[in-house]
Amino acid sequence: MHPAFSIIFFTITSGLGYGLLFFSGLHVALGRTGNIVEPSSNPLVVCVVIGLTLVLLGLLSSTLHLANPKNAWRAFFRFRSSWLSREGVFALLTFPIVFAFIYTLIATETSSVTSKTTAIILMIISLLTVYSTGMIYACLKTIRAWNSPLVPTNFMLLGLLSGAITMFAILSYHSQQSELLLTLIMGLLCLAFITKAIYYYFIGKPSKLSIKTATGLSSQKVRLLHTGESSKNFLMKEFGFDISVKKVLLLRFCSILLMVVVPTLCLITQSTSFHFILIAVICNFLGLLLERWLFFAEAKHVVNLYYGREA
Amino acid sequence: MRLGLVIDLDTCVGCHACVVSCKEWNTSGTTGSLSDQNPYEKDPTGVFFNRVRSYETGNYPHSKTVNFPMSCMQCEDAACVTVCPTGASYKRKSDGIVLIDQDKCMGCNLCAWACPYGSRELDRESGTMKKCTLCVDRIYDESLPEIDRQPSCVMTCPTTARHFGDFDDPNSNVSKLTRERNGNGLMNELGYNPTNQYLPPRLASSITIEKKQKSLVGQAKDWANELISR
Amino acid sequence: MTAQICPQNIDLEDPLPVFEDRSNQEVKTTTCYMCACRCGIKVTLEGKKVRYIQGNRNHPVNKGVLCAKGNAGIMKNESMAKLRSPLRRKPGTERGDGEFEVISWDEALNELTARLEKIRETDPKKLAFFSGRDQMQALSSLWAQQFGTVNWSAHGGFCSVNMAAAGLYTLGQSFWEFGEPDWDNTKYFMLWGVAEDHSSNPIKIGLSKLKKNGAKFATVNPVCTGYQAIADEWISIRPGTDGLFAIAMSRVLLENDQFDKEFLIRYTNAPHLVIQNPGKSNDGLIWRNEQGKPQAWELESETFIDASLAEIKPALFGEWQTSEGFSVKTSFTLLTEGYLGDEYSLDKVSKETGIAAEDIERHALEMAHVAFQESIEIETEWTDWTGKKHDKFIGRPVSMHAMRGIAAHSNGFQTCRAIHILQILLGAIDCPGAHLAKPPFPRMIPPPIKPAKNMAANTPLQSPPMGFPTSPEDLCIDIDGKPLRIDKAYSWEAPLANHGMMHMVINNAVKGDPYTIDTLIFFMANMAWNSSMNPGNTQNLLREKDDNGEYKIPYLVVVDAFHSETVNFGDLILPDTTYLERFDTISILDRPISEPHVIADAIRHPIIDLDRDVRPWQEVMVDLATRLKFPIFTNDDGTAKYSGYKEFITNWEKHPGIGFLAGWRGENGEKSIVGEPNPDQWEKYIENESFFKQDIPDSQKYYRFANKEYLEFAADTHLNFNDKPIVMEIYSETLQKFRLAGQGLYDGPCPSDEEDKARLKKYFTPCPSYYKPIEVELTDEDEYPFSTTTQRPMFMYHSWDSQNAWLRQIMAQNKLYMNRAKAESMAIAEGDWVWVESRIGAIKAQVKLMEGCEENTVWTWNAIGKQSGAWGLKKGANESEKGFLLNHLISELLPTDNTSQREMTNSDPITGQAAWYDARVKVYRADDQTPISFPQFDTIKPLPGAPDQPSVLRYKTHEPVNIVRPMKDVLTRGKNPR
Repeated sequence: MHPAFSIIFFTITSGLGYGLLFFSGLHVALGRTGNIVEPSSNPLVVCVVIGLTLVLLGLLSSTLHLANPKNAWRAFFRFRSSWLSREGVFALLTFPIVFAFIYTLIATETSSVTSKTTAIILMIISLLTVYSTGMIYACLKTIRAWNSPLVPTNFMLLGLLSGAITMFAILSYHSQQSELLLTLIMGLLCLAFITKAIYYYFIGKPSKLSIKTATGLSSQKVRLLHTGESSKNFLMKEFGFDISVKKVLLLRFCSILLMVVVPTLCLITQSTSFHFILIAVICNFLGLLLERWLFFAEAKHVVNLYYGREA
Repeated sequence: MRLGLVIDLDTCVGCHACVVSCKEWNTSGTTGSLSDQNPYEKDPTGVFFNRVRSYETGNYPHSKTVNFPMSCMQCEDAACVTVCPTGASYKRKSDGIVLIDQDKCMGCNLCAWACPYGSRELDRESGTMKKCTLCVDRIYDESLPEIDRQPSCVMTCPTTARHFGDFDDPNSNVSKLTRERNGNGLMNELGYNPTNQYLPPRLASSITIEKKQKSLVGQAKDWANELISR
Repeated sequence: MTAQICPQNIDLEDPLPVFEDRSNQEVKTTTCYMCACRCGIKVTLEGKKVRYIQGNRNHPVNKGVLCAKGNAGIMKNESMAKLRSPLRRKPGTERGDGEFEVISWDEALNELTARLEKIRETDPKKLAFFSGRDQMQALSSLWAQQFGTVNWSAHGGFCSVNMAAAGLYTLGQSFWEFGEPDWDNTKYFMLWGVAEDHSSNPIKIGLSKLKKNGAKFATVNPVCTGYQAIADEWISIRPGTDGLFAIAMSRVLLENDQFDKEFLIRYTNAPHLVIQNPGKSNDGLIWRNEQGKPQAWELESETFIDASLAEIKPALFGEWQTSEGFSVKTSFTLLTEGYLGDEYSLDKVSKETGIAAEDIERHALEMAHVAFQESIEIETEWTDWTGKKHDKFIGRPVSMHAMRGIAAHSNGFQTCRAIHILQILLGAIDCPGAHLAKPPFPRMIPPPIKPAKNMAANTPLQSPPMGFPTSPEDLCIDIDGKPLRIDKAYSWEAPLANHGMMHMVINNAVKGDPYTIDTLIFFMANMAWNSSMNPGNTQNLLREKDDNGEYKIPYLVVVDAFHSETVNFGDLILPDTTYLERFDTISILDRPISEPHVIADAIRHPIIDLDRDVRPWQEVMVDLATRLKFPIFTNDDGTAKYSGYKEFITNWEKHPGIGFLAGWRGENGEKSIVGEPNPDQWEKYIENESFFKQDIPDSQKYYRFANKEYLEFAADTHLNFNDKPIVMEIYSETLQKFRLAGQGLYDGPCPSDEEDKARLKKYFTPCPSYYKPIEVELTDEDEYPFSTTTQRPMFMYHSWDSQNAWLRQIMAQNKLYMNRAKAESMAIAEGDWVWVESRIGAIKAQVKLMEGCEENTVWTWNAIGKQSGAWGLKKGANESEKGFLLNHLISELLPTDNTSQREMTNSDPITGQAAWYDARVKVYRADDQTPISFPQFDTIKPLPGAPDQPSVLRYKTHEPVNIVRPMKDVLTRGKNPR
């Protein structure tokens, strides 16, 4: 698949934003706000505001991918069948829920039932939205590399991971710490690494589909002779992306390094230093960019089979 | 009704008549125009609903060439309809034709991602997705003579490799052809239940031959003459 | 076409809007001209633009279907390459530099008329007028005849004259527009060397029918694409060896005693006796009695007898002594002796062709089985030429079709004759299920027209410039045996050059061999590019000047509709219209559109208005003819006889009652084929969907060469020249006469040049023979191991469609196709750039590997490679930057051993057919893989007034009527699509 930067940016920033929202909600729901909430400053509010801004930024970025954005407002109407619609609706619902949450943070006791309930709703909507984003890709049987429960799982885990590290950085900036968050981050780093590894194993398996199954021609060997167009058409521009195995392995390595390894080292050794946490955030983000880029680049649409290519 | 096409791989010679006929009808049709980029320079490209690809099976000298037209399969379980967020992509209840409402499409490409057959293309000029409409703007048009109420590609095909009809009617030409010639949809395993059916190339029957037992008789002048009147 | 379902949209669940405003639309019928198939089309106009083009169901040629090209007519009309006005090369600029100034038609025609007048009154042969994408050969030939120059031909000499000539000298008809398989009834069809043909839609319709009927379709071709894809059996063959295959199969039939003896005896010259008198002037001639009748040996009476009599029982085989001191053999004996010779053993043939010996035998016996064991009968009463009545037609349902893969070789004439002999042995000519003639064929063998030789100032030729020589006396040569024509057609170099040799004109004119000319007019012929061999050199020849600084071809007039590479070289450009913008005739006198059982002709008329200063070339020819006061175009008092083309077509008669258009003749339009001129004839055609057709009655449909009713009808209507039965020629006495001349024995003109003699002796065998293509014979096959061929794609017609925005998207770059295994053994991978080298040059191209390619052949698509800037394409277009021509590797001259040897044309020695596919090359991977083809040429400048090419097209004739999905449905429809 041709990696479109606007979509890559959208899923990452959106995931990150929802991660921030989720963990903000988690702290309130578990009543573990501890010294995080103080009259003078409220890092949780900062997290939530940044989170929502990133979600908004992501949404706007996704519209850049649209060829006819004036109809973007219609995207909410097919909730009944379309994951993109569902994601849109959930994203839309996020706003009032976040406003409500901020209100509970500022105007009420964070330990009140209202706060905790709002927090739980916020967590649910965050997960639902990121899950929906993942399902947009995972429901497509045409792209084997996407058609797996591992995809929404990864989206959620990586969104949570990046959100958690970012929240950790914001707290650190405000000279706050959360043991809970640090533990969860370490857990997420492991989980993310494991599920990513399983995913790469999974998409490395040979496909059952071939030019023979695509065309239904049962002869021993089937080869493309002519595509019927001599320059790249829409299909090949969108789906005919080439990347060498060497490049894939290199980028996977760099991605894991930046996304998982460097943040792990930073947080194990220097969990109290803002600068190291910031390095972790940035590296994790860059690693995520690579991961998401590869997510597209490595995905082969089944229509490629009709073009004599692999899928 | 379940309208669709039967494509006969046994008689398609890859002439591209259907490709161009579709283009010319539809560029002024219900989702027109079908734009072209770089029409007179390097790497021309444009929106076509129907494309013909060619494949070779087997190895030289026993290889066979198969020409393979593909356009929207009008699937019963069309994924492109399921994934469309705006509802622009939909399947008509009465005849099963899958259409794209040009007023609603936002050009997100998701339907193209969902379609395994490459049936949908983005028209950069309108920013919307376009595809074969099964000539819905021809087949019901009572200002056309009845015999012309067919998809343009079907009317034009010089080798009668394209047929149009109702698959819900077991006596229609398309239903009969599919039965008689073991027609199949493409990539059925993906579960989209394509309506268009493909008829595989026929195997030729062999011809018996008669050989004379005697070998070549000496010289021509020794050959016998038969008495045959002019 | 069977009617497809027309569903009733009574379901208001999915209502539809009105899509087309019919009140703003008009449907007109005319004839397509995206190629020479000339299908009937219906053009829907909306306002001034073309909304839609479709096939006309009522038209006999295409019956409603239409190919990719026909469907792309809109974009032909929108082409950026359309010429817009007459042009003159700017004085002081060089030819080929593309510096032109716009002039008016008056200026252009005054200039041309003055020049032509001068030529006509001094030395008419100084005008050479040759036409390429010709549609009205009959008119342009007539024009040249009236002018008084022999230097005219159409393009058949570089196209496929071998097909036509072989058929006309053997059967009285041929393939292509002369004849066609009986698609409805055939049970076995063999296709030879056909990629795409002018009869393209009929072939497609026919193939579909025969596949449905379960007939076997075998194809002989070095490449497996197109029609070959749907063949039951693909027979891969080494190019140029098809003659061996045909002869070998014939040999199998002879050896297995499976050939149609009745057919041979009744309808051919197989029983005719041939004089065996070596060293004498009558050796090898048909033995005739005092009345000139050929003789045969009557078996019952055991005497010699007039072979043309009915009710005799002549021998097919045998040799007898005559009282005149020589023996005679039957033609068939000679044929058989030749075919049973050692050089045609199956093993030898297998080695040369690449077809396994057992397969050669099997193919022949399969055809024989179908012909004789599965013959068909059509119950109809008919009368043969003897007056005998029959109650049925017996059909041997084996049919064939052949085209340029056979023709474009220096052995193509003999090969095509060999195919015809094979058909005759199977009895499969003009009978049910077999090969059917298309009116006005079958005709006398050959037609009794001799090419004109004598020219005089201001005097028309006494006969057409093209004709059918039957002996050395008919050649267009002077007392010393030197050619009279600029292309050397009908000289010892190419005696039966029935379609001229357009590909030699530039070379000969510049070399002054046989003489220099003054004015060269090319109509619709891209001689400076893909229609020439060695185009780079040809362009240089056009630029060549003599010692005085004058161009060796002083004045070049290019008539074309589009900005071709050749237009760039013109001194005067006369722009033609497109096919939607003019009146035109597709006449029986010309290249007819008849089907086997339907006599037909057609017209074109203007569908859209002209938007630029161009004129139909036919109009201009009539205009020039009138200005030059050609007798046919001038009244006795010197005034113009015709006001223009339309009036000329309606009123001119070739014979009393016979004109260009056969339909609606007679005062009231009530007569067909023969009748007085009808002033409203054009209107009648337009009212009747632009074509005329007349069905042939059932009793006249088959065996027309011997069908009394048909022969009389054909004579009465001047379709044929007399009503005599047509006797097919297994043995060609015409060829034998020329062979005798080569031996110095002929009682008449003989060549004096040793090389001419050698060619006549070797190649002019009266029975078909095989010889290695001449170029191949002179080539080191180890150094140049690959044969090369081209083919036309189905979606492009020669050079005409890269200008078409839709069609060029299908293919804007042609590749060099190679057999995959072969390429891999040479370390050439898919997509590599390779050098292809011949004895005259090298090109660089990109490969595409495939299975369906004979291992020792490389090929590409015809004419897609373009010169940068031509055809309305911008610099950098794939056609010029990456596309290529194989032409650069082929020379119009054969290699010579030393300088004293004459430069001989690279053509078939019998007909002068350009031997494109004889070329031999070597291929190797290029070190420099830069993706640009070689050679590259300078970018052609845009013409004055040429429009800027848009970077986006959004063609439509009205605003689209979108189908709106109700919001209620959007919101309430469930998860499932329906």
